Amino acid sequence: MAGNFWLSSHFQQWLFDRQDLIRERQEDYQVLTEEEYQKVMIFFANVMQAIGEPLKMKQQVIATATIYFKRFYIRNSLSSVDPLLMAPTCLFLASKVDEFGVQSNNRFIEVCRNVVKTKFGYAFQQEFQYRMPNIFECEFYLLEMMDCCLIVFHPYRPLVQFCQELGTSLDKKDQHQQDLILQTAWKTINDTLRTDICLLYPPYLVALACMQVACIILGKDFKQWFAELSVDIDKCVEVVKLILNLYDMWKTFDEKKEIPALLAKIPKPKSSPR
Amino acid sequence: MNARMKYEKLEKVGEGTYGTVFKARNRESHDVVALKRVRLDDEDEGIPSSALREIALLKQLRHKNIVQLLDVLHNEKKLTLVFEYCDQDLKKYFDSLNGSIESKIVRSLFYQLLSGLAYCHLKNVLHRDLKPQNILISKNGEVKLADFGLARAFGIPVRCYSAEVVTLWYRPPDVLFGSKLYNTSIDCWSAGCIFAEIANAGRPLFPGSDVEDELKRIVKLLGTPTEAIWPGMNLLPEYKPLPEYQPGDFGVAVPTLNDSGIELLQRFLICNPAKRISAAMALKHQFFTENDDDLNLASL
Repeated sequence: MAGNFWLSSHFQQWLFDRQDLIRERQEDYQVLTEEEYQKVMIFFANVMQAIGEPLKMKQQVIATATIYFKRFYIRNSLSSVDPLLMAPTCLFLASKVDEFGVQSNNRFIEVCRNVVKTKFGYAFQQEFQYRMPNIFECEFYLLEMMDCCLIVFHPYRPLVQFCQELGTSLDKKDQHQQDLILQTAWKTINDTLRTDICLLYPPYLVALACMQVACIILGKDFKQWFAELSVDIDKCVEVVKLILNLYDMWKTFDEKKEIPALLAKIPKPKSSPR
Repeated sequence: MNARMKYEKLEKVGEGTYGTVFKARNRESHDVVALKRVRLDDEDEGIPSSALREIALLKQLRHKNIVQLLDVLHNEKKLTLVFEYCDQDLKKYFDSLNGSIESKIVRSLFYQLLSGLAYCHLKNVLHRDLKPQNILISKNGEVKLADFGLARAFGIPVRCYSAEVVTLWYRPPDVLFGSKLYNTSIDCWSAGCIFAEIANAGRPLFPGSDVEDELKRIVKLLGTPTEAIWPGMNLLPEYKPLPEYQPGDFGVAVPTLNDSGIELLQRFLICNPAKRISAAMALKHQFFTENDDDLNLASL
């Protein structure tokens, strides 16, 4: 869903600064380092992506779900609700809010089970054991913890607009570069969902930072165009740095090796699903 | 907190899109509210998507002409939306009129309706289902748009909106022809129809029985549109040629409206959605400015 960002709950209630995040996550940071926490978040973002794809969910819906997931665990520790239940619940809620339409529940659970078994079996000792009543119950909890703020803004739309603007400033022979940058920056936006960027910066700024990263990757130079935008360049550079940090971390992050140990560190939820 | 602990139920008021509506009183503040209980008996869906959309959108809207979502309560598989209470809706108000209405009240009701709508559109929210049953009137004559179960935020021009959303009588010709990419103009058509209905003290303007009848009633008053005045019309998915009609007489259709009122109505009831007046523009129309009465409250 879209709407007016500056008048939204996303802007008014759900943008934080780094200190806020550290404070909110204190309980989790007792058992996990900041980097380990980020790795757990990356892992579950991957789980959501892997469940969403066979269900043919649009990237937008998966992105919304990923942000719900992060928002929930800002307000709650990872030990409060099993993230393996929260991940599909976020997808379930996001697909309804974004008018993706509801799927057959059997199919939904079947995909969860298959994906967990075939792609993430290394991380879990047991099979995916949750059923729709667990998802429904968890959905309530998620809605309440997010204070019913369901509309999330993503950088995809501003990205398309910025790329069009960039396109009009280019010579005819360079027009194809606009598409290249759009594609690369689009993927970069997907990558930002593996970081805290969406909790820290407004979508338009993330879109611009992703365009800059795309320029770095493609070896293009549009400094002039960026300079003429009236945006806070320092903030933009901050986002670029966070993205590059992620790429650095990715080079050495071996999920299969690290994730089981990290998940084992998180205390199990006190109440098991009914 | 439990809904029962916080509110004392007074009486059942009606059935909404997705559950029963009760009048209730806050036990602490004694404020009267409307409780909309969301049925969760559909084991397949969890919280119904219409309820989720209403919550999501109302969370972003705060305006005196839009019903305010005060609270969302949940416990044990029950979800209750708490709204400010209004005594009646426009439909019930019409029933109390006995066929006549003061022009001052017509102006105020429509002005407030447009104020709420202009605000929705400013916030990029389409209502999609404006009709007298969804327009509430408070004791002191304030109009409140309600029932956003079919509303959606717009702005992503990538997907078709779900078909079949507007009650037939208030549905614009482009949607009747199967257009699926609509925008704020859908609500403006509905607003125009409701304007005429208010002026006629509750007689609906185009009470069609099916899509064909609805379209016929429309073109009988507006004249049959041509490709010249509505480019792209015959490319719409369910376009069918309509019988040829010359424009009818608005003075007969809405006999109580003055000239500026009819002029304003005609700016809303335009087949080509691109040409329809916006709610924000309409608020500045002479119909509202030619008298200097207070338009923000209707003295019913």
